[in-house]
Amino acid sequence: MLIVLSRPVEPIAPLIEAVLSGWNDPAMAGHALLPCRKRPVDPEAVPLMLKAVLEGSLPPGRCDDEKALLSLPNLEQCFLRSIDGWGGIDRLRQVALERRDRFWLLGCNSWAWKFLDHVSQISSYFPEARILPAVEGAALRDWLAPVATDLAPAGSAGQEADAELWCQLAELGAGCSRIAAELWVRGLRLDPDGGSQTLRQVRPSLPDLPSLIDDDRYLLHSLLIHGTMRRNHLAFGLGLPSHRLQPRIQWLLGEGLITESAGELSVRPSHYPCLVKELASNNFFTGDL
Amino acid sequence: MGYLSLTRPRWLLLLILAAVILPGAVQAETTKQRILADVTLGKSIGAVVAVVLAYGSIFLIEQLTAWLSEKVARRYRLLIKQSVPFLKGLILIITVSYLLDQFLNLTQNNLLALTGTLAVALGFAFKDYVSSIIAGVVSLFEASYRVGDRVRIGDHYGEVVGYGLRSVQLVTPDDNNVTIPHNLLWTDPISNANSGNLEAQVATDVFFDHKVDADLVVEILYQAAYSSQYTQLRLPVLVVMEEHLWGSQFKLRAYPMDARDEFVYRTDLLMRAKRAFALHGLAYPNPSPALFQQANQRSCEDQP
Repeated sequence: MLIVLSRPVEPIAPLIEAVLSGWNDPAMAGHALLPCRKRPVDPEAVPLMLKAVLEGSLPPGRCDDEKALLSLPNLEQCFLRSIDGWGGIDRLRQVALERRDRFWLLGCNSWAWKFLDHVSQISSYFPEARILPAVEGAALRDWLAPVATDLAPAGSAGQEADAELWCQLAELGAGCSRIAAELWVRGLRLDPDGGSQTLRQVRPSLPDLPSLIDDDRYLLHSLLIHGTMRRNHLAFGLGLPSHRLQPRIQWLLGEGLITESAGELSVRPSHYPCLVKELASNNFFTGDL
Repeated sequence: MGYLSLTRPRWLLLLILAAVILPGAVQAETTKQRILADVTLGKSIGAVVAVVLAYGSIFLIEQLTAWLSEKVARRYRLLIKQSVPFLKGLILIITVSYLLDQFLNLTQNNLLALTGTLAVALGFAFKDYVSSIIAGVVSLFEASYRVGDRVRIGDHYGEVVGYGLRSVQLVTPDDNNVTIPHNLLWTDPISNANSGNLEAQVATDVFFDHKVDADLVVEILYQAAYSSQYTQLRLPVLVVMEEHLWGSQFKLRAYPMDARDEFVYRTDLLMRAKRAFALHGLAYPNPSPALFQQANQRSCEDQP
């Protein structure tokens, strides 16, 4: 049993899926527990998604006495913060205890994990939670190198300043690749000496948070717990009619604090470090690593 | 409004001091040591400036802290609000000390004479007033209520928004300002919901028929609390049950992250729970009038 935790702005599902795509262990068959990554459109159906899979027969090993690896890389997509919204997680907890012959690999965002620990004491059942390692400056440079080739070349003090810049990016991003990458993009400017085709990197900094009201904080907290969310899921979880939520969502989108992609809302990675402090100062629980 | 009620005691105190001191000073002129010092133009201007400065400082502190406490994060809101009485007290002490030093010869004998005279005068004429001031100072250190707390004093419930020399100001849930003298501290019980913390327990009652599935109701209530965005999950959530002649009572005890959300929190809990109750078709109590009468009689007998 292995649980990997990441920050809400750093989806772990693609990472686990990428690792498992090359899985070819003859001693253990690997299976994804759920066929899809996202919650069903109907919020009432969210807890049923996991329950339905777990009620049926679990994927077998290659032979009867062989172990099988069951992966669920997006645990935060399997619940909603509503009455009976985490029923599927409770069922998973129970099945994982009963089926010790399966190796369970779960990926979850750390805020969702903290929430599930509060309401379901999940860490008592899955104590082996590991945190995704922090990315360092050199790794960040190597990762972004293919897209950084068009940048203006560093000056005479180049190499050292360049290394310092990447370290600073990694530090500001708290070791989270998504935050660091977004800060890096935010720090790109047109190079005045190199014409309109050359870019240069300026000193990275975290963007300031706009002035938030309580409704915004509840909304953002919910988004961080659930990772990404549809608007109707957000309204369902907050127990509010959609029309009361829309103005604040639009305002937050306008301020660049959240982003919408394929109908799913999420917090912009570059705002995450300041948002954690803001929510902690306002007495919200945070699941920061 | 709160501002006026806070400044009035200081002027009254000065008037009392003047009324008590002046006759004593006249008598003392025959003695070697006069109580009243020489009054010069410079001293008078200094006194006026000191009073104006104190007045302005208190006004500024009140305005600044009220503004700042609503701008900063919740964690610091109560800290800022709670500093107001101490800051105002400090200004008052400094100003009164300065004025006394300017206009009185505070030798040991004069001080004894002065305090004796003051004690008699205040003891008879301004007993309640002085009692309130002393209760205010005691409460400041005893912390029976602080600015930002949600308290019930007598029949009044609300958030403490002002802490004056003589009285405390509450804002009720209906947005009324209630001014309550501190001396009620001596006689009346004071119920404080949060005692300087951001969280205050909110109790939410729901009632059902005796035949209801109690396990299901308790589970729904727990989940209502855990699913509410207002709930402080770091603090315990508890459901307790009580039986009545007319039905079963379930009480959900939970804490919102901010005591100010008390009413919106209770509404949210009830709305979430009621949706789930409706989904499961749980039966609400349907008591006959006779049962109500019986229940009323029993509760009357129970009361002393």
